[in-house]
Amino acid sequence: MYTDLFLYFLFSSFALLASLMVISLSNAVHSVLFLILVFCNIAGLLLLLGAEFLSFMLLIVYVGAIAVLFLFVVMMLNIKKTSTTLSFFFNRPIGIITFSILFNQLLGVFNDFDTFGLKQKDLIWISWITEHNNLTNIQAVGKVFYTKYSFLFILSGLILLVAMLGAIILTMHQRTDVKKQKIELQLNRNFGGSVKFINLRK
Amino acid sequence: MKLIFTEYSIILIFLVISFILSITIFSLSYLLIPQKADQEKVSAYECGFNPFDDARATFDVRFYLVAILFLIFDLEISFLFPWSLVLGNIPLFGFWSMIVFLGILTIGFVYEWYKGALEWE
Repeated sequence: MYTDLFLYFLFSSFALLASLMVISLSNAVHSVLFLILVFCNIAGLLLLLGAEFLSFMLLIVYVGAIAVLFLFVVMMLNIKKTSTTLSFFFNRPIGIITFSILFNQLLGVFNDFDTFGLKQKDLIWISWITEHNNLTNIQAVGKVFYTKYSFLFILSGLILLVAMLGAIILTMHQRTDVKKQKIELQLNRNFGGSVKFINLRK
Repeated sequence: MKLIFTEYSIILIFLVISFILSITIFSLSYLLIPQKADQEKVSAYECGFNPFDDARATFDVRFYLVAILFLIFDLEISFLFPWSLVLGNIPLFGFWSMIVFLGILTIGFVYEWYKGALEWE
């Protein structure tokens, strides 16, 4: 009865493999598709941790929207086969620094996340107190999000506003040479101004 | 062990079955048919004439604009969802913080409307 442990290893190993594929594939579209696979696996991992709202938000926002944005960007850039031009000695120290920071974060996770099932042997326990006080995941998020962290909430609204304005300013280009249909102009046009009788030469 | 696992186990079974089914269909269609590829078969099909160039053509940037506007209002809806669940339990301040949030995004929406960002010529 180690189904959740098995699923944890399944999701995490798939996420690792897919993220390796993201950085090693040369075709950018394929690596974006593997990024989607990483997101799906991370959603499964969050579901295993019990954070169901976060997991489905990850699916909706990242897979549904951000990955599509990445695909658009990749397809807009018109990348054919590219070769890496960064030198080996330039890449390596940045990689080591980033990896050590991330690994340090990961060690903090392992302290309270029981990866190998050392703390619980065969017992399958349900903490009925936390299940029974009837506070779902979404309610737990919502109880603090709009009151205690309301500053961050409104700040996120401002960030979204900046993103919206920036996207509109950067990508808007109205062509003036196309003829548009203006319905209110068509409907306001009256008979007297548009039809006139002229005398042709006999 | 959490109680939600028992509820999500049905989704897990569904996921496993769909995974097996898609692998089966793909591998059968790969294995059962004769594989004799030639130049004409693997090239991109365009009706009536030889293909001009690669099928991966570049997009217009306006698709990107539509996608990012979709993303922003998608996030707005996902912020509204937990708010609507706990609205009876949080103080009035929580209600007004959401109104301020919606007001900020409405400013962007009005800007987008008057700028004509969603009109497609």
